[in-house]
Amino acid sequence: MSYSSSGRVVAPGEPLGVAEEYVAESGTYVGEDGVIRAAIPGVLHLDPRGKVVRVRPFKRPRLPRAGSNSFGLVTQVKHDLVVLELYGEVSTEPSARWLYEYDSPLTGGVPIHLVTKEYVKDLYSYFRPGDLVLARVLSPSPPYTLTTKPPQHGVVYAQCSRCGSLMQPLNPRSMKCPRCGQVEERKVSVLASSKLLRINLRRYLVFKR
Amino acid sequence: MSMTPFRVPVVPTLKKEAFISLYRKGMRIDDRDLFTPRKIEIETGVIEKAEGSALVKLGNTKVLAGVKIEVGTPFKDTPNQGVLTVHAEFVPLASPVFEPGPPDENAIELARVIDRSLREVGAVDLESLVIREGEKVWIVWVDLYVIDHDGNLFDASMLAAMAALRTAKLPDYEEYETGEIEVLKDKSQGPLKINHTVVTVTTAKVGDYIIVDPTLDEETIADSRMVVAIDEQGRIAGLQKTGEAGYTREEIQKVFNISQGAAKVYFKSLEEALARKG
Amino acid sequence: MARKDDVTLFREDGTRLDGRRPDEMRPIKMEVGVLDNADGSALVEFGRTKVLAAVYGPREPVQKYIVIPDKAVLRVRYHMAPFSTSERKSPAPSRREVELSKVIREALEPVVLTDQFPRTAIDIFIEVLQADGGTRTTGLTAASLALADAGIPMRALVGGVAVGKIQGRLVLDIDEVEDNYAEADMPVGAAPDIGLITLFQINGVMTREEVMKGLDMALEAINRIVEMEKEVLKSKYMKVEV
Repeated sequence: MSYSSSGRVVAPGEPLGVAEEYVAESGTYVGEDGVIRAAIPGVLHLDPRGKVVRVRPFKRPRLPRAGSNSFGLVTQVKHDLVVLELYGEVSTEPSARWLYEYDSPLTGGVPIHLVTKEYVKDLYSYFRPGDLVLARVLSPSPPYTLTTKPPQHGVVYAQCSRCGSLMQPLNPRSMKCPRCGQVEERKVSVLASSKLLRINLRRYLVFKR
Repeated sequence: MSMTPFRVPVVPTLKKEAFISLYRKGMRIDDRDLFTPRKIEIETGVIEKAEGSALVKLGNTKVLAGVKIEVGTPFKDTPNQGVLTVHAEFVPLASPVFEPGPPDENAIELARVIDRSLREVGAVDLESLVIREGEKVWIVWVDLYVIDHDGNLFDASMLAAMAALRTAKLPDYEEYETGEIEVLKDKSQGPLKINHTVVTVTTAKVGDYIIVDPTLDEETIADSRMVVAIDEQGRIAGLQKTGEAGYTREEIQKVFNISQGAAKVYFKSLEEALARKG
Repeated sequence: MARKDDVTLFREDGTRLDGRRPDEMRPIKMEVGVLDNADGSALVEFGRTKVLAAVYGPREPVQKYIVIPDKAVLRVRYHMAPFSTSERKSPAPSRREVELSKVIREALEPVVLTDQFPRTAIDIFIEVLQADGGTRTTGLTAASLALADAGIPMRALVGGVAVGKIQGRLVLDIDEVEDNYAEADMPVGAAPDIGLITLFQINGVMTREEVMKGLDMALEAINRIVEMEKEVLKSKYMKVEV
């Protein structure tokens, strides 16, 4: 028994098929009565061969997804945790580019053992409050756990603590201030000099760089 | 702003399953069947300084109702009627989950449901409360004081309010030439004029089961509750679905069937308690 | 609000003061995506009752302690604008607004799939811009549209309407005047696709038969209201898809 045809627009609650025939995937849910229904407004995709039904949404809540790269601000550096405020998702393949802003900023943390491959004695030599970083999301729901171990993760923007200018990456473990010459230790992302990261956050922050 | 409460899992899922397996056999943890309220004790005149009062014990739940009657001004659009007002306090000593502070949404909801159940059916004769039309009337303050919470605060509160109102005494007064009204202490004109008696029946829905007079544990595991106000003629004088689940049309029919039966038990207890006093 | 029958609310032919038949709703207007900042929004009108609803979330609440480990918290605020009523209403939340915020939240909890967003809050703000009866049911309808507009997964859409008993007769979608003179009013909210009644109150005196008849009248109307919600949601994107 097939309720509907592929490609049509559906609304929440509309029946799409039965659990005996199809596997309910994203955008749908299975009720207690075994009927698969749409959960959001969107376009129906029915795969009669793979026996899968899903609804492609028109709008979806934008939250950090496990396995994705998130861009955020360091708000606190504790002795065993770097606390971040996450703003949006960034793609690093094939090249670095900004994907989208989250609906609202979220809190995440990088525990000391996920900061870098080497043994960490003092987290303050890797991150400082005010740094903007790229990290990979590991957990599926808040509070998010992230890692900065891979080379493309780490600090992308940092201000010189002496004169406040934007520092330039020197090597994966340090940045240099072009104005006053100060060198500071950081876990630097290889994407730090990339142009992509000149971003404008519409909703919560505006960067004028 | 109303927000989803975090029900601390004091009653874990295991308990819910244990309860449901009892319901399947038509039994509950306190040896009741699904349709019978707990033991009801009603005592009136417990607060001498109040014009009316009652203490109701429904199982372990205890609610005190105090009626204070004072002189006041009527509402603009009802110059020929007295005023009835109902408030409820979930007193912090009643339960580890009650915090000090102004009434929360649950206390406000309870007071408003009890108020509507009394008001819509005209339980208290408001026209008999006029002293000088448009200027001076009696204000009947009904304050519900929850002092021990073991579930079903609605039914206990309604019984307490009703018992307090039925035994309340309207103060006597003297009216001077200046127009001033002096309420005479310790003298009463007689009882408050009550036209109808109302009770509420609370049922909880747990899975496929509808149970009458839930205890606190049962309320915690329940999907939702329905409070039905019924008057002495068996009419429905109010209704409130309270809780986070939905009902099918058939379940609503079932709730009415069960509620009408349980209402008789409440009425019987109430009338017996009032007869004993009088 | 029971009043004496000194006012006629029905004409000789049985129609109501505004010309409607007893089972007829007021003209309904619905629009989604009316606000830019909110994640989802809707404006719904039932006759002269106008309600705006907006959804933010799922988001992290500022007060982290209110979150629940296995699902999202719904936070609902029903509020009336000071200019929405005949006499100006103070902006401070009244006891009625507190009760209705709870009643509307409890009408949405059964349908929002909150377990997909643990430890977050989904905020639903309902503002009554003009009140002419049925504000909570119109607000519920607007909230349902705003949630769908935000892409928050739901079991089904909900709609609401109030039934009144005036001079012994049951009428659908009462306005403010009718509400003032009614012997009883019964707001109903339901999700017809899954057969669930999620909002149900009675204010007044009714017999059981009247309650069931009124409920059926409301449910039939809600079928039509939810169909309209689906049309509005789909038509917003039909243009984009083509």
